[in-house]
Amino acid sequence: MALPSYATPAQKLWHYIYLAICSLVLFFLVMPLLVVIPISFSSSPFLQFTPEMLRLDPEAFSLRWYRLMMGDCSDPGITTVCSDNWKIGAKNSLFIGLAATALATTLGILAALGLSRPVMPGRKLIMALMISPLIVPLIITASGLFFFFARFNLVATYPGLIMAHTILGLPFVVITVTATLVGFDHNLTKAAASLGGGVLRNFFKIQMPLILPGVISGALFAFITSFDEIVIVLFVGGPDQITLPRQMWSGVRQEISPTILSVATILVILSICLLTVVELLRRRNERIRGIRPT
Amino acid sequence: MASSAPSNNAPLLTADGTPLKVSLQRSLRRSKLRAIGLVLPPLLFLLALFIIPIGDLLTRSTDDTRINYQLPLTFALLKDWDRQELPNEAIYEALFRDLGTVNKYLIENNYADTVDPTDPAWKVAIPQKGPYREAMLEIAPDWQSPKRWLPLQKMAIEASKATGTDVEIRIAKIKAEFEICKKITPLDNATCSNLYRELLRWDGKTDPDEKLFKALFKDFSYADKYLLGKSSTRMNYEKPGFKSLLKVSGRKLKKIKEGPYKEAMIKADERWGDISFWHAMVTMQSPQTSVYYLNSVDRKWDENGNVVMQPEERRVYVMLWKRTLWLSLIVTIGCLVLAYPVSHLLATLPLKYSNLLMICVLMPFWTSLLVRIVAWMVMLRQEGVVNDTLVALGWPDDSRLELMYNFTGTVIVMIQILLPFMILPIYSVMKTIPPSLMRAAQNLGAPPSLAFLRVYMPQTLPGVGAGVILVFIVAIGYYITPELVGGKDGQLIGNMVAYHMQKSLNWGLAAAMGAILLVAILILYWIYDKVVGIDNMKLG
Repeated sequence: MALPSYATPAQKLWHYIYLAICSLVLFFLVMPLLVVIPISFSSSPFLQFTPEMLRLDPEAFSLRWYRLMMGDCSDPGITTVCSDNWKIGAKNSLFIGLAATALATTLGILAALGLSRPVMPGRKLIMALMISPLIVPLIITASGLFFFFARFNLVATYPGLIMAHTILGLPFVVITVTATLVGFDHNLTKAAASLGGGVLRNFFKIQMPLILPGVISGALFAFITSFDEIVIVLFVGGPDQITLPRQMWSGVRQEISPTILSVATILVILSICLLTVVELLRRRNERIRGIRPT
Repeated sequence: MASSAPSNNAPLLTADGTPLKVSLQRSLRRSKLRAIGLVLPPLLFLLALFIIPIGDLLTRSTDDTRINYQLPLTFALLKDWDRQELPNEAIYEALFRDLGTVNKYLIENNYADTVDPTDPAWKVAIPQKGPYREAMLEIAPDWQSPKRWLPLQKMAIEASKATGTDVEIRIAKIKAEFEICKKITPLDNATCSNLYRELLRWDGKTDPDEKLFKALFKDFSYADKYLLGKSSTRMNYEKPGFKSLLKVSGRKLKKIKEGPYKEAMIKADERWGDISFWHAMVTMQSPQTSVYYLNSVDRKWDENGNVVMQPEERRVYVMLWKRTLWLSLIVTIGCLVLAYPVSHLLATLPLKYSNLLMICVLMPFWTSLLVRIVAWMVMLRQEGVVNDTLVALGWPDDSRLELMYNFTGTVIVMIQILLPFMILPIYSVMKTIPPSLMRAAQNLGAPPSLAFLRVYMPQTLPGVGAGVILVFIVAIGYYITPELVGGKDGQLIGNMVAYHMQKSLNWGLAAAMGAILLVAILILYWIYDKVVGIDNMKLG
């Protein structure tokens, strides 16, 4: 929004102050994430901008922390612990995340389809229940699951972690898919049924393509939630279930090594990719449903 | 609906001859059933793995049964005590037995029985130095048959066959020891190493011998000691001093060989002659207690049954609750102050610019929480980027700011983490406000500030409400951020719950604090639903 030409000096001043405040806030939001990236390429083990780095001395930059992260311990100058844990953690997080996402997406689509039917009894209450894992503090969910899983020998098992993460991902899928179903024209499914399509075929050929943006963005939310989850892992996971957040957690609690910053950088880049996907999906969804962005 | 159409003569019929009303009802029922069928699997999953576990956790906040298992005989007799004078000899003897030996409940691993004080099994004293077999069989005869032991032996043998590296073999052994203890005691964190060893030696066919019983007794004694420790913590809530009394008595009571027990126990520790300890025991008889709730707000029962404050030096929780609320409030206000102008900018800029700036808001939202905390640690440390920059700008090097491991640090980091939760709802409301309204107000003579206050701001209130409640809800239950950057004076209630869950193992207190937190959040959730409607919750 530009300032009109007739603005008084006071208005002009106020306008610039306003812009300055906004830029400061946006700066505050992204700066810590951006600061991490250059430091992760530093060759010094101190988490600072060294004078050499500021002079852009090529000697001051290296990929040694990335090599260390990949479990390459050949660097003689490194005194911190070197292990395959980051790789193991990434693999475990990916596995748990994908499994939990698959489960949460399936269950979430079912729930959203049922809830979007106007005849569904107790709609509001069920919706509130479905969203509640998002609202209840993780520490309470984790404590409850700990006792519950202890009873069924599910503590420190992968099925236990996957089910717990499914619970956390479920609300996201329900919310996003329900949102795409709001403008859904139910005559389409009726038409398909009258043309002889079976229930399953009907769903996959007619409904699914239309709600797909919601499904994907819900699944992405569910995945990132599981991929990023630490409290549940600390409570119901076992010592051999190293996930990426757990490895970061133990790294942060001891001494922050620059390796963590390499991991952080990769995760920041990953988040930018995911963000782009979700944003593109949202626009596609709006275009399909004829909602013009204003 | 068509079914309400007047049908004085013949009802309307569908093509196949059934009345329209019936047919419509049938189809409505069918589609209702289909909707329920769709929702049922996720709903059951949620009930089984979320609602029931949390309900189960909450029952622990009032559960007081363990103490009844610890002192079964005493509590059985105390029921008839008149509470006016010190209990009689029989009750002292019961307490002596309950404290001195592994009780029948533990040996049978069966807590369902009601205690019959005339049953001699409750009064069998197992000699400390053996022989154990005879006495233990008198208490629980079913240990006589090899059948009782064989499943345990199977676990031990399977573990002993483990192959692999030394570490793997050792882990298999410890796992089996845990499993055995889990099978025969209510503990899941104890290792029955004596039993494990003896079970491997036993051939599995002959009647279990003295050595096996010795191992069993050793492992039971360990479990009993542990359980007594937990019970004494619980008893200390009721009456401070109980824990030390039990600890001291444990040693001294071993020396008492025979009655009269009342006299001997009071001689061993004169506190056993103090009637208030006995009164405390009476209050613990009920299987339900409110002591954990009282404790989580620094209250307790006094001798006369009144609720009073804890002594000064034991008060922590009220302060923590206040701090949690205060911090959530500061974070919420901080977020609101920062989010409002930015949301306004995003909502009024042309789309191509605002999309670009939106990335700044959404990127932290999508980035891992731990990554953001690590990033802040790099920024806020003593040698961190913020302090380095200040020093480079001429700030005195010896007075670097303390920005982390305190309250300030927690506030800064939490505001950054929760800011997107505030910006997004406010932005989505501001986007729907037509800019012409402000122009119209100014056209009618209002100065810009007045137009903003009277025309623009009231319309943004739904978004502000949604953001405020959302941020407050998330902030109040925070755990990870205060744990990592909070230091000592940035710890919140969430950290206390975690502490009692994992370190002090005071699960009743953790559950009570969790329950209070949960109720607060559910109230806020309900308000959120009234203000915004959960159907309107949007992501990104």
